[in-house]
Amino acid sequence: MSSKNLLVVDDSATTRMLITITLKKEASYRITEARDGTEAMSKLEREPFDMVVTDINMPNMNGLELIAQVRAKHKELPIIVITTQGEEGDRDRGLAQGANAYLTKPISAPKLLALVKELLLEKIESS
Amino acid sequence: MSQKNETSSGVYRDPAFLLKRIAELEAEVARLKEPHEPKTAELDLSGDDSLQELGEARKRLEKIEEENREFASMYVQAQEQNEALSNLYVASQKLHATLNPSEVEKILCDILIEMVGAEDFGILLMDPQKKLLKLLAGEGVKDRLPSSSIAIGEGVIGDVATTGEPFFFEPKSVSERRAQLPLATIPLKFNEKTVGVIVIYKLLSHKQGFTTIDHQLLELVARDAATALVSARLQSTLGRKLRTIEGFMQLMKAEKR
Repeated sequence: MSSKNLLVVDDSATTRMLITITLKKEASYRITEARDGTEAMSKLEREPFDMVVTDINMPNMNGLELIAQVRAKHKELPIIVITTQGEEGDRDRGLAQGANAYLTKPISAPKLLALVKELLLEKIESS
Repeated sequence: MSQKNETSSGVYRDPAFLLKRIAELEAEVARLKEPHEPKTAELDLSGDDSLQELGEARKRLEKIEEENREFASMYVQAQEQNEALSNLYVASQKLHATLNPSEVEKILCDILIEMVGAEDFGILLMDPQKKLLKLLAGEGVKDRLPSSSIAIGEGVIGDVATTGEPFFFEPKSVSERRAQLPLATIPLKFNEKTVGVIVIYKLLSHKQGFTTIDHQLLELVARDAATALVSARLQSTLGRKLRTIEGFMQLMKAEKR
């Protein structure tokens, strides 16, 4: 199976590390980290990615702005948005901006892995 | 069955082996469930032997289904343990990655929010001379604490600081929820001495309560956070003293000239 390039965006280094460790259990995933939306856009311009996993509340450029900018340039790129609150607001705003799915913190490792696999499979099938 | 996969109590360890075994058992269950056209030469339902055979096949099927459920349960347990280990590893790594006191505080807050799912919480450190607990960092907790400084031995928080034993509260009734007691009060311990307390008043709205992983994480935090905070403060104090001495020595050198 070819290697998949995933971009993890979160201002919390702890969360980035946790997501990276979880996703690296799949040997074919290569993980790149970004601290905020601005850094994420910069990395997206330099190399292609197969998925973006992003938090919402971040400095410089938040997750909602990032999703909007990513969707403007990469219509088919799967995006998972991570929300801190269980309320519908963050989740609905993320999905309305164009995210494919959401997860709530604290993140469940099995759910994250299953969601990433599902979205990557959907992407392969649709292409 | 491979000997190396089986513990002395007969529990299998290797997840890959478990998955393979589950697939084999599912195939066998599917095969047994297939409608079987009796061949007259093989199965004569008029006899007692065939009824006995059917009964035995049924028992075997039930046993296989039971084994299947056990393996699935063990697989889920292995996944949960894996998740717990990842969380504990990340928390420990992050707490000991820096000797900057404000960064350690931030990482500790991060762990409580991002990994435990705490919404309103506080980190209090002990002033041993004044026998008081003072708020170091937290979220949404200033109005919840009885006062800005809590005497050791006073209330739930002061009690935990005295005994060194964590306290967990699971309100069952409306009146219990109104009591405004912290959901978790965990002592921060350094060399077996309590140096502070973590208080969690409220979890994120979608989080029902503390899971087994949360308890394990809070236990680790109780040990490692205390060490990290004390080490960071010591480093900061020694750094200041060193700079003071260096400044003094430079002054003396300048005066000598």
